[in-house]
Amino acid sequence: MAKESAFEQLDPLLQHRVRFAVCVLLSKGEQLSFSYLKKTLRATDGNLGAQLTKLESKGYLKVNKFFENRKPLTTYSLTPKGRSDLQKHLRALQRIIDLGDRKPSDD
Amino acid sequence: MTEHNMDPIKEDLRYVRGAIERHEDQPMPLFSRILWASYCLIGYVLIDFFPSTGSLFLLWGGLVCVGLEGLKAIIFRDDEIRTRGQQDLRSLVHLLGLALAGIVIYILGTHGKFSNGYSIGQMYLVLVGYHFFCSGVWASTKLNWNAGILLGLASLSGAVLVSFFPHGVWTGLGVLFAFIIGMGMKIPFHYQRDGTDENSLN
Repeated sequence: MAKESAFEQLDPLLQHRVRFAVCVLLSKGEQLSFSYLKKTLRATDGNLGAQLTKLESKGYLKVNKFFENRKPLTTYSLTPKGRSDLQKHLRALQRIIDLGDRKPSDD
Repeated sequence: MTEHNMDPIKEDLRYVRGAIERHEDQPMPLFSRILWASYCLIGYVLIDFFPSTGSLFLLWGGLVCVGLEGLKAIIFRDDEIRTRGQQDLRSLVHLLGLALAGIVIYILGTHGKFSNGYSIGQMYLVLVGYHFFCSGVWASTKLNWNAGILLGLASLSGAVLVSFFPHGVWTGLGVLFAFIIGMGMKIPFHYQRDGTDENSLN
């Protein structure tokens, strides 16, 4: 039952691996560009773009647009809401992992 | 909960771990490798053969190297990573602290506060050794923690050895520093980070 409860506490938005990885990478207070995220996550343009849009629309990401040497550049950073929800998701995952280590009779 | 529910989580965590490792394992830029490897090799070897020139080179050359790194960061700003945030600031403050300590040692040395030139050199090696050791301990990535500790211990040992072998120790240290920095502060060493690894999910 405890494990069922932990599963329910997982954030549905972060149960997608690309969205989860984006939030983890941005959680160190860095601003990362689309091209960097694409390379690091080994994702396609379409998939990454769709996942970033979803995270932005739910208020997890802040998009920063500016010009660098007359070239448009877009970077992403984590919002306080994104950071807080990521922490909750990580805590729930940790509980699942901890409970997974136990023998069935412990539960 | 059945095993079926755990498999996607395991796969997702493996994927995230791979992304973090790729993110953290950024190679040391070639410019920085050449700059600092040359600085150590030339400066340390000079100390053995022309001590006065060597100490001036290490002091002013170090400041010039820090300046060149800053200039490079401004001119060739990486357009892939806009900012590395706190990590860059921490590195800059760390280097500034080292530079300030080096200047203090130099000023004390030139005002006769040390018994001889070797004392200044030994103080410098202790300072550099402690700097590298700490940077190895606090390194957030697996890239350079063992290289930092190795160079830290080598420098601290060198500070003691120059008392017994006045010639040759600096050159040896210069070659070692240049080699490790030239390799990008990377020493192949298998290291299993703690946290969410595969075993903790089984």
